[in-house]
Amino acid sequence: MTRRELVVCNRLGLHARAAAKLVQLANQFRCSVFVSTDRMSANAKSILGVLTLAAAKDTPVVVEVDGPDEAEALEQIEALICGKFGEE
Amino acid sequence: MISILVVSHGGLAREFLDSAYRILGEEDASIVPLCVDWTADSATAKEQIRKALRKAQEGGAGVLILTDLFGGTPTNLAMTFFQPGKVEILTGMNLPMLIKAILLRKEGTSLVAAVPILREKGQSAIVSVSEALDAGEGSKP
Repeated sequence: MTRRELVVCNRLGLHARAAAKLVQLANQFRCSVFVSTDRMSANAKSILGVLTLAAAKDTPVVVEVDGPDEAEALEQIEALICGKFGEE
Repeated sequence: MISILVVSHGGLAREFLDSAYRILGEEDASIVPLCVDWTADSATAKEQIRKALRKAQEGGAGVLILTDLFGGTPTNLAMTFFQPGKVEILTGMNLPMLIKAILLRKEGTSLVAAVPILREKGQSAIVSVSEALDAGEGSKP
């Protein structure tokens, strides 16, 4: 199991389309992926779960991956979030 | 795999589906939006629902009809086709409920199992922001 602290840094935060990108990416991996804010944790493979995080710009999040391909998953998820979901 | 009909006043059903597809990132062409025109007479609208329902029933796994408003004409017309376990109707749909319905369909969830899950999801997705923030950050002003 690996975890990494990141910050949602795109202007719109983890809004619907950004959440969809995260969920689509997470679903490409066999490992479990959870994203947490200081308020709650959500399965990153569930769009409705990720949306309930309501993570606005500058929200710190912890990404936790567990499974055989966790290193690759974490690397790509970090690239997505830190790359502002390809939006800016 | 269950079939889904989305029935509403005006263009709401189409817009709901369009929004769900944009969020999910993929479309499901087998889900039918039925937009009951504000000026349509009820016989025409009922026939429209009957035709879509007949086609949806060809799937063989039951049909879920999601409608916008309990007591409204689209729901009242849909209710005339209600058959427990075969044609189920959920009213007061919202976007989270519709997204969940599309996901449950994809997962192969049965109609009878899907209905209570969707009712719960539709209700729990209604969130008062002040209550949600209080619950998570109780000590903050």
